[in-house]
Amino acid sequence: MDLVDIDTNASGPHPQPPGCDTGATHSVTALYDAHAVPMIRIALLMLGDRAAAEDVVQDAFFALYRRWPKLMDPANAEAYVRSAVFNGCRDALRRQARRDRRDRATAWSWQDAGSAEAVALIGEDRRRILDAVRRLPDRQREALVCRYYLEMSEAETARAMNISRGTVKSTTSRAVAALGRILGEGQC
Amino acid sequence: MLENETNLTEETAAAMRELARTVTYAPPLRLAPRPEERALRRAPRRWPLWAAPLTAMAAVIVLAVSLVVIRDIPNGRVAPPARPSPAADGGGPASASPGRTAVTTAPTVAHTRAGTPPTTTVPATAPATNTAPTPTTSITFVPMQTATGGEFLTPSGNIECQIDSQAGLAGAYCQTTTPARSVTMNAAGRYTVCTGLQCLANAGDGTPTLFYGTETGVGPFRCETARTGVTCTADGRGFLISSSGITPVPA
Repeated sequence: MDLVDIDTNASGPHPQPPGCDTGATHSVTALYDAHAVPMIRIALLMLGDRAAAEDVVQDAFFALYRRWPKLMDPANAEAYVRSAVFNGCRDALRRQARRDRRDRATAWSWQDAGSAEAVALIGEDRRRILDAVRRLPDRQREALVCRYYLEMSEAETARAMNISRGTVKSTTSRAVAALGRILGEGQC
Repeated sequence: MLENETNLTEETAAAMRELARTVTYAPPLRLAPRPEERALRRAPRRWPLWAAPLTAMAAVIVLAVSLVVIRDIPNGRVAPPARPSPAADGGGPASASPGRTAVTTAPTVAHTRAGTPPTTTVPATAPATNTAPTPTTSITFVPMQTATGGEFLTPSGNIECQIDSQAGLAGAYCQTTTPARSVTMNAAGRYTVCTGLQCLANAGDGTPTLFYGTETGVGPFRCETARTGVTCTADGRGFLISSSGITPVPA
């Protein structure tokens, strides 16, 4: 499975913390250079918040760094990080839900997702779609990200979400139906 | 309906990709927990309840094993064992001439340099004076090879003697090749006789010949050669060795 739009970003050199294993540092840094942007994109789609997405990805790579000596197969590091990103997103969404319930501040816009200039380039129709995606339950949104953004198969999505293929199918179907309903609500 | 759903999924995927493309860089990697994560971390894990008794049990086992191991370690000697001297081996009258007084009556086995053949120890005569023999004017005194001892052969080559005055090794040894017999004497003049081929040792290469009528020795030991044999004494007593046998001196 390939991640879409994999960029090798130009985020500059990464400082090496003192007292850390050099081999793990180099390996994790190289993985970060190769996969950080795609992972942030996934997290952004899940969370709708660029800063939160970056934090989730940072935490995922830090977790990988800590587990590096115990990692049986470093070739699975990418899958491990992606799984960690999804888990981090779920945790972040739960925390966000608690905050929302507490603060009653549910107003949210994709304008918060990234730089204003970049988001402004997204067309109105697609922004409505993204808003609708944002209103979906977390599991349905995750299924949509896996199936339509990451272009995973049902089996791959099932492994990533740790659910059965049938559940993937039904969850995706319900997500699309819900999207249609949400988008239809705005049309008279 | 299906077409609408397909369009919707395609539009959704396109919208997601468009949003994703707004991310073009990633901040530098931090390989350390975020401050808020550090704050959320639990306090250091406490020892489980079963750890203390388990640790104590392990310590007791280690201690017990250590004691067993230590007990089985043999004690090292502080000083090397003393070289058994012929006199220390005791002995009884064997080839001594009649009239000698034995210090001990039971014959014992003594070690000689050619092995451990059965030997008998002959006590020196008593009482004796503690004055060391001094060379007389009629006999030529020849110093030994070293300050602590040396060896010599008689002109016939049948008698070979060695003298060593080093502490712990002090003694005079003489042998006759024919008959095969040797004698070892300590600094007190007590000597041990050994009979048989097993009692002999080859003389070293270049062993000098001590002519008849000459005397040599170091420390308390003195040996004098004569046609009748070699007389070695220490502390005023000793033996005469010749092809006819070993006899105590003074007779």
